[in-house]
Amino acid sequence: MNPSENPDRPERHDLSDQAVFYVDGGLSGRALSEFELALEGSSELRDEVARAHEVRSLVRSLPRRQALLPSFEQLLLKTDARPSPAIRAALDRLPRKQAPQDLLERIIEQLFQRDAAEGRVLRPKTPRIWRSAVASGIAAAVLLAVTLQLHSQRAVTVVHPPKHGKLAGMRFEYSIVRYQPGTPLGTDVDARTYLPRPNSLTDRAGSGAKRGRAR
Amino acid sequence: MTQDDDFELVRCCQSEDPEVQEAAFRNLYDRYQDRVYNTAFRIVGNASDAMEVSQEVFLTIFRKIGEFQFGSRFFTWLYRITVNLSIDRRRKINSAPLMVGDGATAGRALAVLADESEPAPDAWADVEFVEERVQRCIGRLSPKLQATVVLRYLEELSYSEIAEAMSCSIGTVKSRLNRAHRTLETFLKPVIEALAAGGEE
Repeated sequence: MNPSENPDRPERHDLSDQAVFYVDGGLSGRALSEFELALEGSSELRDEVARAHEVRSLVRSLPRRQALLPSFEQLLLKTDARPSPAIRAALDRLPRKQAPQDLLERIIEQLFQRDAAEGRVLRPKTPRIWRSAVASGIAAAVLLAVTLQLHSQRAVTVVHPPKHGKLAGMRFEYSIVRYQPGTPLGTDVDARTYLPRPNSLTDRAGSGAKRGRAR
Repeated sequence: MTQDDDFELVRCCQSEDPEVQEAAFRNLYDRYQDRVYNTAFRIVGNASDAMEVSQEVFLTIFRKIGEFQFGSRFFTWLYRITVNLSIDRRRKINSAPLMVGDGATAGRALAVLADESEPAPDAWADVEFVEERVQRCIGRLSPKLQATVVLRYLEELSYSEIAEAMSCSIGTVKSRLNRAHRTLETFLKPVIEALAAGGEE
């Protein structure tokens, strides 16, 4: 709400404000006679009244529009919550249909694939929701297995260089090795297992790599 | 039209008999469609939105007539729904981007452009042009001031009826009418001056 529209705001009752009500016929009794007395002695107030009168006249001069609304029947068609009484009556007059005698048989046949003629159960049909749940579970298990397998094959970067063995102390730019599951990073590195690729070694490590390959 | 007539019709609308119900609805619709439409038209400012609002008003009335408690006059309840739905619609129109795509927004865009242009002097002799200018000035008021002006000057409701329709005090109605006048004086000044100049010629 606009702060100036706060109903708690005290009303202004000065004469200037009353010009609107005077023009609008909203003043009566003592207020009216007081205002008319003030009006005689104040040209400013007369201007106020003239302006209020002009505004009121202009607004009141707006013509009334012809309502182009739909017919009552068309409007009732839109009342989704309450159908037209006429439509409702027409619907009530429709004859009610009997359910077919073999409806239950058809349902049972659909559910259990029972041969209706022989009464023999061909195959208890699993409800569709269970079938889809089982299929989803199998798919998820396969996906998980593949993911784990790929993860174990994934190349990882050895952060800590070997501390012991022939490659100990060698400075690697990087080492890509096959990760052995269960081997914590930073433990002793076996050079035969973790052969660095030749190009990845620094000059100093190059000789070590050659030794490793020669062996 | 008296309050008793309205109450009788509302009671019929609340009855269980479909035929009585429909006849009463039809009577209320015929009786008030013009007032609802004109109120909506002056608040939203165009015919298509006014028509949609009017339909919405009657649909709301039909759905909620069972909840009417006879604690207020029927037509003030009707006006309250009309004003509220019209104000909602006007806010939607104003918040819509000014893009020339559909009729309503294109019309609004053109109106904004036209508002900034200076009309030809002889345009003020055209009644429809003056009406359109005055309507545009009313449209520039805040929704509550606009509703007060429309209910008072076009629907000719009393201050107490407006207060009932807008759920406020009579003092608030007077205050809003006063402020609407002050604002309209500024907006309508060019119109008044142009009309006065035309009259002198």
